[in-house]
This record gives sequence, structure tokens and C-alpha cells, in this order.
Amino acid sequence: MISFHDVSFKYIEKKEYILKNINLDIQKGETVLFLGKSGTGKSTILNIINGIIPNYLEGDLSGQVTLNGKNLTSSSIQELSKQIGSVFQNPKSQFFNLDTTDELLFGLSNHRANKEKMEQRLSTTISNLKIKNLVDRNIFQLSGGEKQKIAYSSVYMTDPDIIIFDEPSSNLDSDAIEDLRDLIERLKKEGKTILIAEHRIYYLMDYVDRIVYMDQGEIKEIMSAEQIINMSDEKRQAMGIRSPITPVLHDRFKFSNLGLNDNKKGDLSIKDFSYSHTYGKELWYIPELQCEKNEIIGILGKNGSGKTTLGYTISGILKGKGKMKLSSSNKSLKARHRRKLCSMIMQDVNHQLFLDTVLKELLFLAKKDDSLDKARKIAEKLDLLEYLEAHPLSLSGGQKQRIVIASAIMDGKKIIIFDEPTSGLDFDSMNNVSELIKNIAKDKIIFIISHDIEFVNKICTRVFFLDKGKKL
Amino acid sequence: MDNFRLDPRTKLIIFFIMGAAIFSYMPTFIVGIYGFIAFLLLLLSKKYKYVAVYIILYFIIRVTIYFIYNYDFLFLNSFKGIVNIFSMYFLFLVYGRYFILTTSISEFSLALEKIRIPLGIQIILLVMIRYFPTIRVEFKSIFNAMRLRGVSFNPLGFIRYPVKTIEYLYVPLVYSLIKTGDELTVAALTRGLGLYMSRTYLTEIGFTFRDLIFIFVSFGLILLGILIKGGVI
Repeated sequence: MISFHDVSFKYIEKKEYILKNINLDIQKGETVLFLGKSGTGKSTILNIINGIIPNYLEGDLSGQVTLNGKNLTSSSIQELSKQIGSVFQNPKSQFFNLDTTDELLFGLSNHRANKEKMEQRLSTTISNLKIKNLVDRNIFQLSGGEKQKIAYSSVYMTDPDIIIFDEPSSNLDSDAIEDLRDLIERLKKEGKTILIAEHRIYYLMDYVDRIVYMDQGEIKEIMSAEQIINMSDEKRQAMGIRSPITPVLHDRFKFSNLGLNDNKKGDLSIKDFSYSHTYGKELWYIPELQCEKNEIIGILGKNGSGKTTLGYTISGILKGKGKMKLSSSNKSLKARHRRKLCSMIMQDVNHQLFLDTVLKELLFLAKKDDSLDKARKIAEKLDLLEYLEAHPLSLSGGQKQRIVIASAIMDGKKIIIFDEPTSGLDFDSMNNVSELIKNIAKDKIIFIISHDIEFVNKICTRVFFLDKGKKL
Repeated sequence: MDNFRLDPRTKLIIFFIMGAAIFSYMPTFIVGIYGFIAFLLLLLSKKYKYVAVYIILYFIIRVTIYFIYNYDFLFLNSFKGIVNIFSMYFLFLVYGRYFILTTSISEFSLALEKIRIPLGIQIILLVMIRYFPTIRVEFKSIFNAMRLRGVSFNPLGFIRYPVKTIEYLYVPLVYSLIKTGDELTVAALTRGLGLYMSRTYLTEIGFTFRDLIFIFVSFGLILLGILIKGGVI
């Protein structure tokens, strides 16, 4: 159905080719998974198929790509949209309307479908994908998982033959991933051709016909799901592939709870902690939480359970209710004291970088003379030394994350909260982040908000679950 | 009454007539009646919360005006201009809220299409409507990030370091809006936006007797105002 013949591609401003001599034939009804580390060209292949390359992202594209025997690269993105649907990574920026129903109808509306077709597809989609509870809602008020559901439901609305998923699970919790699994099962039954680039792969193993493993712009190996499942852990991890088995929380977390094991007072104690919306509904309630230095505490919970809000409340961005105390003093910390004590590494670190060099970013709050030495030491520890004079926003996602961590250490923060630090990361980058967090955890209390069980198993010393509206 | 609805075109017509009435300094009672219409529309659309909020706000404005004009304190005088402007545009606030709350994007773009606004301009308007809430969300997040680094946006800080404050806010805000815009464009194109010169819609809009009444009353009022101002009545 789709065939690549000697395809190479490079972006205009880059020297290096991101795709090199790709030859690949994809059959109708096939489910193909593209694997490989970040930046190895998985997304690039998908972007060529849906026409984003070369129509929107320009560069040198050579070789031939055909769809049903016709040259694909001469069609516009919009023409291709009739046959090809695309679901992307970021739920925040995939919707164009404010209202979910408008959003569902958006594609058909652009394709000038008639009213009967619209009505029929709308009711089919609502019943097949079980999204009745999402109809006629304000999209801005949905959780990340619900937004993503609307994104793929609106692609399903237009009934395309080929559906492309570019890291669709990056921002999803395990329940939302189950919904995504159901969708893929349904699409497969309907005979669709499904192309997926993904890092978290466990939910796809039952449906994948072929796995294309890519490295540095080339197709290195074509495998089956069985091959990955039967592969030794060492070999798989060396290839940078995440676990093919549904991750379950490690046994050591079985007895983990909010207090410390021997009921003693921790270095940080939180009591009667809660947050309510302005209209009065309590989002969560924590009766008591004792934490000690050097702990790495995982905060788990579904999309929309208020994990980020908890992070904001601990760090003093939100006031919340209740008491938070350090063992060194008897006074309860007010929001502004908590802000001095805590740092939060947000999911979108771009919001936290506002100066024009990395060094300025690190020295922002520095007053002492020896600050420069200190900054250089921290930068060295976090692999940032050669970028001190670079503009933070010109660096990669991982580097930006490290700048924010470095400035938190520089400011002498005792409590550091990470909000989804591994969303959309491949195996190697996930490992790097966990090494990094372990390195800086000394004498600090670290909280990690995450959906990523594989990562939590690797790094956390204790976990607890937040559940919306329920007492813990 | 179940689901009180007006055609978006009617809403636009009323909006322009109200604007004309306010900017041509119509007699107070006429502007007052327009205000009543705006409140009535909110009420009929069952947006009781906003009705309450705006009534309270209206009384606050009235009381402030009363004090400003009856007690000649120097510091109150400096607020005169602000309060006057606010009371003048108060009507827009109420009516604008009604418009936004009761018009879906598809209805609005269908209305634009029916009055033959080209798709290009429709898309610009769509993107603008989509961007307002985005800016609010992004702004809030950046604001939070900065508070953790000890930059606060209290009025005092802003007065003392206006350039710095804006600079700190500006870089991340512009960056994230460009990034969102980029991703949004790709998402819209892969869903076929702009494939044809026009789009089709499932929603229907159309004028009813109700629309005619509201248009008629709005026109009548401004006509009355013109006659009074011209000294005919």
C-alpha cells in the first residue's frame, strides 16, 4: 500500500541526513511499529507519509514514496488527510475547537461531508469508542488523557484507511493506555493500516505484525513482537527498547504508605493537607505524610487526579489547606516559605527558562562572590559546562531539564518536585534522568509525579496514590 | 422556555447596533435598555451565575460613581476616568460574555460563511478564539514557574522593574505560543483544514421570529435615540 524506495531526507538547516536509503513496503491492513532511540528518524518516516514532510517541514527529500502506486510526495497534506489520519504526542495542541463535538466533526467538516454522513459517523464513533461522557464538553477543562481520547476519536470520525500514531501514549496514565489499546484492537479488526512510533511498547505487543528497528536514520532490523518478547533484557536494553511486558509496581512498594515505617517524625511532615477548587470541591486530602532526607517519593494516580496540583501545593504555588513542617522548626510553613524551600521541574520546562544564557539562569538568585565557581561545579556535574553561554531555549529537551535542575540546586532548594520527568523519553534518556535524580538526591527530599511505572520502579524509594475526591 | 437560541448573525447585528448606540452617546435611558436586553439574553440562556456576577459588578460601579461625584476627594478624582470608561464599556462586557457563552465555534464559522466571509479570514478568527484560552493557560504556568524563582508579579514589583518583568514573561510566553502554533497548524492540516474553499456543518442556524423581534427592538431603540438627539421628539 505504501512503499519507500531509496528514500533519504535531511532538514534544510542540518548537514546530517536524518533518513538514509530507506526501503520499506507496508501492506494494507498491516500494523507496523517503529522503534529506536529519539532522533533516529521514526517520526520522520511517519511525517513523510502524512505529507508534513515536504509540505510543512522542508528539506531535501530524495527517492520515491508511493501510496497505492501513486507518487505520495506530490500531494498536499490536506488531500492526504482523506486517506490518512494522524494522532500526535501532545494532547494540548491537537485540538482546534473549544467544544468536543465541534472537534469530532472538524475533519468531516473540512472534507465537505454531508449531514447524514456526519450524523452517522458521530453516533458510530460515540458508541464504538465509548466517549458519550466526553460529548459537548469544553476541551480546555478535560484532563490530558481525555484530550488525547478526543484527538484519536476525531481521527476515527473521518474513517481513514491509514492511521498514524506518533508517540500517542507519552502523556497517558495506564488506564488511558488501556483505552488506546482498545482503539488499536478495533482499528485492526476494521482492517486499517496502522503505523506507530512509540517508546512505551507493552500495550502494542498483541497487535503488531512487524517491528521496524531504526538506528541513526537507517532500518537496522525488521522483527516480530515475539522476537522482542523473547529477547534477553541485556540485549533489549542495549538496543534502547523499553519493556514489552505490562509494567507492574515493584514488590518493595507493597507496604509503602504515607507514614514512615517506625512511626517516627520525618524531616518534613505534612498534616491534614488538602486542596479545594474555588467552587468548593476537594480535589484530594492527605491526612499525614512523613518524609525523610534522601527519599525519592513517587506520587502516582490517574490523569486528572490532581497530582500536579499536589506538586504546586507542596511547593507553595498554591496555598492549599493544612500544615507542612520541617523537623528543625515548630512553625508551619506558609506558601511563601514553601516557595523558598521547594523547586518544581515542570512537565513543560520551556516555561521555566527566561534568561538569555544558561549561566545567567544559574546565577539568577546568586549573591555571593563564590557563586560563579559553584555554578561551574554544578554545571559540570550535570553536563552543562560547555553550554554555559548558550541560549537555554536553543538546547535539547533533556538539556533544558538539566538547566532547571541545576538552578534548583544552585538556589539551595531542599525539596525538588519532578512533574512527569520522563514523558516521551526513550529507554536511554529515561535511564539518564533516573541516574541524574539519584545523583542529586543526597540531603534532599525528592517527589516524583509520574505515570511511568517502569521509571518509578527504577528510582523511587516509596510511592503513594492520589485518588480524586477520596481520602487516602 | 427550552434552550433559548438566537442566530449568531442576529447576535452580531445586535452587537454592532449596541456599539453604535454607545459610541454616538445616545441618551442614558436608551443605553440602559440595551443593558437590560443584554441581561435578559443572559437570563434567557440560563447563565444565572453570570447574571448575578454582573449585577453585583454594576452596583459596585454605580456606588463608586456616586462617591466620586458627590465627595470631592483628590484621590477619588484620579479614578474618575477609569470608572467612566469602565461604566461605558460595561455593556460590552455583559453582551460579550453572552456571545461567547452561547455561540459554539462551528455555529460562528457557519454564520461567517453565510455572510460570505472568505475561509482565510474565518481561519484567522478561529485561531484567535482558540488562542485566548491558550494564552491564559500558558501565562498561568509561566507565572507559577517564576514565583518559584522568587520573581513575583505583584503590582509593586511591576512598577519598580517594568521592563525586566515583561522580559521574563515575554520570552517563555512567545516561545510556547510559537511552539503551540506550530503543532496546532500541523494538527489542523492533517485534518484537512483548507482542502476546499468552504466547509460543511452539522449544526444549523437560521432566523426565527425570536431573532426578528430582537433585531427590530434594537433597531427601534437606536432610531428613537437618533430622533431624540435630533430634537424631533
